[in-house]
Amino acid sequence: ENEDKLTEVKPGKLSVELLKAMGLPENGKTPPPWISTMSQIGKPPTYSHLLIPGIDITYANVGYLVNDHEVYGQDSD
Amino acid sequence: MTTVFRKANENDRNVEASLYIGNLDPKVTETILYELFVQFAPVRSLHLPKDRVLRAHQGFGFVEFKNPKDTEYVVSALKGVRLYGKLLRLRQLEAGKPSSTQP
Repeated sequence: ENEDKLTEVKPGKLSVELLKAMGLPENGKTPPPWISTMSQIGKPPTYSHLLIPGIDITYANVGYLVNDHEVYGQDSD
Repeated sequence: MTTVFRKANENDRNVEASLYIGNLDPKVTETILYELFVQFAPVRSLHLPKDRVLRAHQGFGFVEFKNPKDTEYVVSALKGVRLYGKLLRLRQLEAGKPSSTQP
């Protein structure tokens, strides 16, 4: 499979392909089921310092945030 | 960029940081799984063994994370999640337990 696309993958920003596989609306306005799970078990250990939409801020399919305006993983390498 | 979609070398693979993935629909791709797991932790390697003739995966695979502490969290976080209607099955690999495929 083509790995080039992987650099575009950002946690908290779901592609249309993944939304479809999950059976979620393609407009990305519905939080994936693990958001409610996270509110119970806590945020992922590796991303505990990030702002997660649906947990720390209003849900939007934009990616986990480093701070108020910066998306995590935007500057890879 | 290092290769993610590969079979982890037996000597190199960190069993404690790895999960077996099962009950996968034929439509599930490595890219979709990579995207799914990255929601919870950085992925070191991900591999779906392919049928040599059909060149399709066989409904299962393996994912290795960078940190062993991530596997337990991922199993909890993805409990009840379905891809193409099929319930994702995740299982920790048993470290130190000799498998039947090893000499």
